[in-house]
Amino acid sequence: MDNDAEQDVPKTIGELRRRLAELGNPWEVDPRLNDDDPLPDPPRGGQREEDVPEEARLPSLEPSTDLHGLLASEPPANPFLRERWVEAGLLDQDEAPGLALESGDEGEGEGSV
Amino acid sequence: MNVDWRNRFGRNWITSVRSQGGSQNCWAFATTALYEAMIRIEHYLWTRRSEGDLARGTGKQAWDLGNIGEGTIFAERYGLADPDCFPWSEAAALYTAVPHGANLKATPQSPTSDRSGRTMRIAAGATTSLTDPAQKKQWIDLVGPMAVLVVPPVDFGSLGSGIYKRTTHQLGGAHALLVVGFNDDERYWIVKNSWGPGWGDGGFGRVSYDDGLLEGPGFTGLRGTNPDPWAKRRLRNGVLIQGGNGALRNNFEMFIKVGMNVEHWYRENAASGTPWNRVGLVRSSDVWRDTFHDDVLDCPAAVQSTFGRNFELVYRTTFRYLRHVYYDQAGGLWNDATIFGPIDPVGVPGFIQSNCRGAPGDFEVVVVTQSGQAEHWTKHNSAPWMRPPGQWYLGERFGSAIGYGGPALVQIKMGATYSTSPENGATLSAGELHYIAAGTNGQMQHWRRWAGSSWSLLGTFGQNVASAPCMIEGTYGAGNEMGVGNFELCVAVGNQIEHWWRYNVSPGPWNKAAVFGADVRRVIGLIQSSYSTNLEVIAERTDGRYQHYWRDAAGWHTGVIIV
Repeated sequence: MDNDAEQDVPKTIGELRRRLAELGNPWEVDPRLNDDDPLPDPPRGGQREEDVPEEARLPSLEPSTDLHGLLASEPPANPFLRERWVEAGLLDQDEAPGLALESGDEGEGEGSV
Repeated sequence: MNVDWRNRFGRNWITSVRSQGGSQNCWAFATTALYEAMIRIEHYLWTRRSEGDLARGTGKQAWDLGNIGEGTIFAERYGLADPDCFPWSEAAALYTAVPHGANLKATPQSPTSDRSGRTMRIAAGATTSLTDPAQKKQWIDLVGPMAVLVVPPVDFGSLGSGIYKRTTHQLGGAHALLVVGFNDDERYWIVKNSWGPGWGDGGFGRVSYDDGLLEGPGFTGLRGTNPDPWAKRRLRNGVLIQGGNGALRNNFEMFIKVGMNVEHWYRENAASGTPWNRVGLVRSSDVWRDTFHDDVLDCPAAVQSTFGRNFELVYRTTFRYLRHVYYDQAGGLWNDATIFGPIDPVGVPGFIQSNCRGAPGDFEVVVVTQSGQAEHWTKHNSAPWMRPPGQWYLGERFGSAIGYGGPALVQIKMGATYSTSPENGATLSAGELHYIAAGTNGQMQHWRRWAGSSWSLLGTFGQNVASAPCMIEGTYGAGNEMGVGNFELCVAVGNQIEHWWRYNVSPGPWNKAAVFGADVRRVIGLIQSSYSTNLEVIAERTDGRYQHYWRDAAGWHTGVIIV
């Protein structure tokens, strides 16, 4: 941490609220926090990229890879998603199954419970 | 383009927000949330997985940093269990008795003994990692949410409402999140955090494109989840099971009486025309175990249990009682478990695996007797052994003037007690048992049993019913994995099928939704499947053959006569 970064940090919620107003940032602090409170620092726990063991590193797809082509080999079973795939040109229209009704869509009936 | 999986296609696909408490296990929470979301999207199934199973299974304790890669490697090698099998806790756990080394060789040690049958499975190499922002958006649009490990500034924990943009360049520690959507119009990503519902907007946050916080890091997505039968247990009943076989991991498995035997059939849901195929007889191929065959009086009630995903069947036998047989998936053999129950029982029994006494769950059977009563039998599957292991015992006899009993026993989430853990939000315990039978007066009787109480009659509905109903708790009405789904019930009346349902969030009356089919004697199987989210019915015809019906957006359809 360099000195500039340290000086850059709001120390309290009140300072943070003032900073947000000055910057015009489009978010608000959790309203349950008081101006005198220090900034909350919830636990995190992720390893920095350089600390991730080699065997746990997930190889990234080259950005030049045709992602649509890769995806097309495994069409989803989800009917809503299949319709979206049709829109995106990954499936033909006749490959999109009909969507399901939900309870009650068929209309009311009699009942005695 | 805008995508938000919390409200996409008119419904929610994201499980409830959790809290990692004081632990350093954000990576386990984001990875678990990713699996839960993909199970929901790929199988239309709400299920809760255990962050504790994933975190401790990798050999790490609450204070250990981690990453998404090792979580997915663990899940690919050992599956991912539910909290009843191994709960989340910040306490140190025996799971870590063998600390993992470079090859992540930790072996599950302290989960319940049936862990292998209650884990979501997924093939090795099912994950994809993307760094290009346009590709990340394509994946989120066309596949589902993605997990990410980022390094947010120190003001990130203060987010309430609005779109987060940094106010400082001071970074905090690395943190894992689930990205559940994006909004190009207003230029933000939508993330699910693990800091409880008090952070951001109910536990979710919007992160501006402007800072590039999420543009650079690799996003991890996955496909091909294979949820366990325990997670699907409420969505099916009777002769029909949606197992984990087939290209889409969702084939139908069916067990029906043919002649004096039970036959096993399956439908290949990824094959053209979705054909039904015969597997063979339910009979042991081991001469020393060939103790049951040519003894079947009626169709079985089937369960795919947490014991190695084994098939368990209970049917009326010529030996005048109920016979319990099971297929050992590991050994590839059918086995005779035992004979139990009342003498000369009536119809198909209701048969489920419950969690009334925790895990591994007991087997529960409700069957109608010659005297017009119902009997509730239980087989304990875990300690404390209040009965000898392997022995079915009669717990209660209830009701009167019951004419027809079928596979209409369900353990519903309703009545389950919710406890709020400061560590991890709400958890769900055992729910009520519900059973529907048809009375001799033509009305259906709706029975309920609270945990630790006796069966009581809730009410009656329908008329002119002279066959056994089949019932499930579906997903309709359930807003997330903690929510209660509607009852869906099909019953033959006048050689047709009546479809009934009941809203269970605030229980109201039973509603008759549709009448369909012809030449139907009774309904013996019902599923809300992941195959187009349809309801699927197997009916026994008046000519003794079996027919498939299904319901989609156009209504009920008549399927093939299978055999």
